[in-house]
Amino acid sequence: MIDAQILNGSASDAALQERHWVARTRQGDEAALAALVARHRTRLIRTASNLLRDRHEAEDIAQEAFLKAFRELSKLRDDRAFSGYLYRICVRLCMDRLRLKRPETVELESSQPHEGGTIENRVVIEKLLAQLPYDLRTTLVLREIEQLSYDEVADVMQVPVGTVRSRLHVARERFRRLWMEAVGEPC
Amino acid sequence: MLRNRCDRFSRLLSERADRDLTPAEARFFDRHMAECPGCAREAGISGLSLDILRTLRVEETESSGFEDRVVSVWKQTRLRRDLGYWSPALVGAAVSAIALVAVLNATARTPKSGYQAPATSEARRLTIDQRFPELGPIPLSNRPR
Repeated sequence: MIDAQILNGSASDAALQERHWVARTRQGDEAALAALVARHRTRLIRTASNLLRDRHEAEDIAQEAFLKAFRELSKLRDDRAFSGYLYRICVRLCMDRLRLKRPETVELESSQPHEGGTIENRVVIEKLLAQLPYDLRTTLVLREIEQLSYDEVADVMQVPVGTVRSRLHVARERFRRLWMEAVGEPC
Repeated sequence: MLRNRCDRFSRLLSERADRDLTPAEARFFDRHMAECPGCAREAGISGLSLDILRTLRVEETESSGFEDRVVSVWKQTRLRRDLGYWSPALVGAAVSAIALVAVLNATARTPKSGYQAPATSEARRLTIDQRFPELGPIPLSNRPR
């Protein structure tokens, strides 16, 4: 499906407007800074929420990402790349937070197969996700939930595409095994 | 040998989520799933678990006041940074101001040029005649008899 914004040219207008805001933010314009926050707030909080599974923590991380991005704006060579630059900072801050947390070892009652409703399965999935190491978890979430391409995941995590492919395979396999244990299926 | 085939099947299971398998890969995949119950069960589980995982996607919700908070913290950060930048000058200015006040105070106590306070002995000769207090201090020699 072709984005309507591309058809009517408003996508390029939005990009141009954002470049203008970034340039103004470099000069200390707080209104431009607020505009950038308003534009990217939802996506950042959503991504952080998907990675951290905690809304309040996600808002803290999103705020920290914005402040870090503005503080280090001199490192951004091309104002057009602000969106990706901000997103990378957010994901890295989430990974730092996840790195500090040890993967949880959750005991699930495998004797009770989870044939129940969606809510029960989602609770189980949340717990299984918490058992993955932070790098596998991040790769899996960015690909499966955020729906990023391999190239995008590689760019965000600053690793080669081959590493993304490998990590994704390991993450999916491990996740699958954890699910099979949780539902009482023999591995 | 079976382990190698299972490993290959597992990798293709992951790849299949992202791309179409080649005809050769698809043939191997289907054949192995028919001959390996464990891998067949894993294929079924894989689809289900990833489908449920995708439902965990957080819905976009409103977070009121977020922009204001970010801008507020940003202003505070900049203010602290600017104060840190200017603090040596501010300290210097404060020290200078204190020194200036001290000098001015000392100057105020020093007698003006051309003015001489009466000598102590002369000051003693001034007295207030209680009969005529309205005259104020007068030299003893001028006191009405």
